[in-house]
Amino acid sequence: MKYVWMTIAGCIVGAVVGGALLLFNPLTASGNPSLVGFDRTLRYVLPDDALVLTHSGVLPIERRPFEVEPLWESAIRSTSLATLVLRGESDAPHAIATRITAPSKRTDLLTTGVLANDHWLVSIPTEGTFFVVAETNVSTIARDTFVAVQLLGREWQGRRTYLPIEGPEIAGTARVVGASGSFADRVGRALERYEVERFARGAGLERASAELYLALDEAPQAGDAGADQGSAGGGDAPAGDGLANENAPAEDDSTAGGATLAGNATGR
Amino acid sequence: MRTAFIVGVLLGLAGVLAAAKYVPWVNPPRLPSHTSVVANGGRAEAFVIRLPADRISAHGGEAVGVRGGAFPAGATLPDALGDAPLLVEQFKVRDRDGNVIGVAARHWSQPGGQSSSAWLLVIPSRGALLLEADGEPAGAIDAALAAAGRRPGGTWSGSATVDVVEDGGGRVVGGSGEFDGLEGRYGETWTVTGVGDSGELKGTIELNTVTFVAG
Repeated sequence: MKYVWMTIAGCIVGAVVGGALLLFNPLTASGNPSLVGFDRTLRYVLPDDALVLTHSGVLPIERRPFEVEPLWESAIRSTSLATLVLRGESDAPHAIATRITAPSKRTDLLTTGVLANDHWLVSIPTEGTFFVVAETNVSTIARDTFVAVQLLGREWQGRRTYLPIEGPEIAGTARVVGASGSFADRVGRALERYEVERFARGAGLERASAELYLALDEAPQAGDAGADQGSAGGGDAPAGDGLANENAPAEDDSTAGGATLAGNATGR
Repeated sequence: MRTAFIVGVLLGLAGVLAAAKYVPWVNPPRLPSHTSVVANGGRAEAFVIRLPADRISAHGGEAVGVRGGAFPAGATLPDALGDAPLLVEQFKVRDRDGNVIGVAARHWSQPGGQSSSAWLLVIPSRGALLLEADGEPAGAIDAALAAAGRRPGGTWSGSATVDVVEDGGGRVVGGSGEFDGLEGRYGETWTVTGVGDSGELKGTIELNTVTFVAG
């Protein structure tokens, strides 16, 4: 019987050691990709720049506004959705983005970490619309906030900066897919730098700021649409502080709207 | 005794590490995909949004009509964006049988004076679809409702159908997850059956997609 108890005690010790190993697992830590080669930056602050933020209630940040519909259905319970006002160089509102985040099925606590699929739809009214598709490693953020502060009850240690995007493009960058206006038929890459300023055990995330860095390939020339799909960004210039090529000429391949009104409208 | 303890430690450690590696920590419920094969190749699938139940939020300027009123109330665009021709809407998305399977965002804008619309459809268990099309004219739904007898600002019931994007007129520009590497086309149809006191639309939005492997 003593042997059984000793084995059980050993199992408990082994499990605790395993948990500690996972907590400080270097394999799952967020990478440190370079910000070199990005030529545009859009910024936002949470929660101030979130027009709408909703989820099922499990995330450590309040939904806003209070009346917004929670994502309670089973198929979307782990998803969050935010409408963000993005600011340019002058700190004035410059763009609006919808960001939808859901945990990735590739999550594996031993080798890849806690991954999330992050999708953005960004509209700059004067320029057009583009998508950002990212795979984000939130292991380090979760360890510093949820585990350390909310589970273990430690005080938040001050500002911390994260670069959570890890793919799916080369060098751990996100994929940018142009949709309309001057972004039509263009591709590129993106990174996000995220700085958590205040995090509390009760309230969760109280304040954070973030920067979305973008690098788009050249606008396609006439008759060249679809070519050069692989190249994106590049160059050795350091990341700019603002919308460096805001006024750069760009091809606009979009055509005028063509909605049709079906003829079966009736009413009173 | 010592050997039993060491064996226990190894078992506990191996168990935790194996669980960390092999337990499916993220496994969102997946409902059957209602897809069909189309005659000339490709996979057809319809996504449905029921209004007003599936509307999560909306933001737009006055120029975009009845859909542009801030929802939830108070979540208005900042002045610098409020004057722009811009409409941002978010919805829950259902399959053909009416089950909620994902969330979606629709952005409409007029860069350079040309209307464009884009959809981001995220189905957590499957991936995301990125859609783009020439946008409808500003106030297209309002015009259809007016043609069907609705007075500006008033309530209304009836039936008005607007092919915002004609069938096959939109483009699938990319995707992720199981939609990665796909291209295709789509159509978007709004069927409005009523307008409520606060201007909220009642009806459905249908997105009919046909996707095929790129190349």
